[in-house]
Amino acid sequence: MSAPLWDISRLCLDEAVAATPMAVRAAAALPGATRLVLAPGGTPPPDDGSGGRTLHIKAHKGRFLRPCPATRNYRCCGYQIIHIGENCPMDCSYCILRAYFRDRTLSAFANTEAMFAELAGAFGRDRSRFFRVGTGQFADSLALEPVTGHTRELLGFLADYDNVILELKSKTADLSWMAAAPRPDRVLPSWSLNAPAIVAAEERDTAPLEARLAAARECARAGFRVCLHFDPICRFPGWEAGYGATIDMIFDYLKPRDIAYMSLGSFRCLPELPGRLAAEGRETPLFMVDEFTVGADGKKRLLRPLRVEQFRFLAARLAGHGFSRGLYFCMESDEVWYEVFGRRPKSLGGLSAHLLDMALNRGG
Amino acid sequence: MQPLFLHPRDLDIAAPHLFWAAPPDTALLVSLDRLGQTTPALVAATDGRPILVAGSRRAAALRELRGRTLAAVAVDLAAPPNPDAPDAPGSPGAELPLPLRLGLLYLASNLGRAVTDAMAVAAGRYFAAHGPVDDFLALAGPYLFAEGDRRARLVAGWLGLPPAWDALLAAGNVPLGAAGRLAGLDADTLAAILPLAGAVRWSRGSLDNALTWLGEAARLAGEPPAALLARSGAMDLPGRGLSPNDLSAGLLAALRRLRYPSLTTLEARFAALSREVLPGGSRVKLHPGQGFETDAFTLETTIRRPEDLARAAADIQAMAGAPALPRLLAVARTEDPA
Repeated sequence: MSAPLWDISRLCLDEAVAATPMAVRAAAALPGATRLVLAPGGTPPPDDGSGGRTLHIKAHKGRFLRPCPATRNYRCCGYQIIHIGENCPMDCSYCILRAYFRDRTLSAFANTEAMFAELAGAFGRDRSRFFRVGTGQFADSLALEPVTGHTRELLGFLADYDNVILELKSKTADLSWMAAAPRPDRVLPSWSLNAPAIVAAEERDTAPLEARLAAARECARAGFRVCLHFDPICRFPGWEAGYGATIDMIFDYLKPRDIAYMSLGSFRCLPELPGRLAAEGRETPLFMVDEFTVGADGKKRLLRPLRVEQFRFLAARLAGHGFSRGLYFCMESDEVWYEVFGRRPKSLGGLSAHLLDMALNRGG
Repeated sequence: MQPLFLHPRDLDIAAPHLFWAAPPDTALLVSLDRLGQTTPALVAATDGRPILVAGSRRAAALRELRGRTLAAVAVDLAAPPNPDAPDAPGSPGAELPLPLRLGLLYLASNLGRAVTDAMAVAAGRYFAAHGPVDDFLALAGPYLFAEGDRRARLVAGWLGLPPAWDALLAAGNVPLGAAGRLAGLDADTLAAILPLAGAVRWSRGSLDNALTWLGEAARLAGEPPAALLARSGAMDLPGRGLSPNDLSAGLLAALRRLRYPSLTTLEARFAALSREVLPGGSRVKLHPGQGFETDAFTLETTIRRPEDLARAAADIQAMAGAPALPRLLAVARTEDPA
């Protein structure tokens, strides 16, 4: 973990889950935090300005398993989300969570019994049907793991489901989840990567690239295959050298066969993101001042030829290291797929099916 | 109060505190000639030459009418303009330096006159030369602005600009609303854009766009806005004899090209290929798909009569066979260097 317990100074527990194992673990992990039990309907008090964060251990009322909030105008990887919590203690300038969540409060859902009941219904209905799921959509999969033990609990539940492959997406180097001893072929630890300059300037409180890759190597040595995600790819002066260096570094730690799949995603954001950063007193990063268009999903994205130029560069560099087959785009159009790879997801049998094959290492 | 009769040439009609002084117009000259002076000027008695406090246009006009004197009322510069006012700092009754007292008397004598943005700035320049801008607003603001008038703060912002910009405000080239935006620019950028600012009449929105594009383009290029502008070609446009509308559009287009070189290149290629695939004179318009995200394009045409539809159908039919159509459909594709 990159920063000890993420400055969590206040632990708010919904009364309904205050006695759950997760709440007990969190209280034990945060002995110095002010503890507050919230009556039904209560909400954590507003930030007291002390600089510390609030962790809200709560019951989630909605569905736990949901599709990725993709738009049909771009090709989605078909990943399904297990909703374990909301918000992230790390501070990446480009993060979409800035737009989703208005404050710094971290939430973790402690009603795991309800979650497991719902998941059992979905995963157990037809055991011949495979699911590729992940927890890293509305939160970092592992940032709060030392506090909540959420992933270890989830892995314990999933031990009974051979038809589920769990991707754990993180910018930490936390490997405490390995204590749950999951099947290596059913867990895909994954890391977001970026150019060193972007990591240094835009990804506050995250683990250094070297630490992420060292964690990935440890997973590979333990028999896991890992996933890597270049997302967001940012365009800035010297981006070629930056991304080239990171790609070269990957293969200092991993062999191509250690990597199940790897995504490329160009920087995209809700149009209000630069304004949000300005309101926080942060300068708009240069890569957010570029030639953008508003895509079919309502998000700003780099003008297509500029994205294609970057994608081609990264794809070629990765191919130079012998990695091509598991490369895919996060939320791109058929046009971009064809321009960069010379094929469309349909020719792979659909992106979701293709990535499931990659996840299961079908075809070796 | 006894009027004084002074020879108009004995008075300085261009003193700095007469900051709204202007040459007399024909109507004033005719009126003074036929009806005489109906309103006395204001003068202040000093140890030496009297100071004209208000009435510079009348004095200037009377200089042109042979043998005429200026009727004036004397004001006592030692007495507070409002003896009942408290002596709080900045209040009219507080002890004020002579220049500020003269400025306030001049404003007071002009009360009721419509104050343009340029006039408010001219007043601001005078007062700001003698003290902080906030003091100007406290002292002179009530004479210039209605309560809550946001122009007060805009004028204060404008006073941060070099005085050369005042003429552009007066001429209507640049609106007062742009004050904040302009005041945020460094001196080199302000100097560089001054000729463009004076070349057309900018709305606040168009100037805001232009400055945003220039600033962002400079940031992306890693060089000062002035340097970028100098090599952009935009500076040549005012000398090309374009109509005001064409010049305005040309300047905005040049700055947008600086900011969005790839997008504007795509747009230009799309426009050129559109002209190639459509028969001359066609009223069908082509639009690229969603910011060039897709290879598709859309057609637009307006049908008012059946023959419009027939014409559009014929144009579209011709377009389907145009050799340039495949290039139009692939306009956003990048050639693979491999």
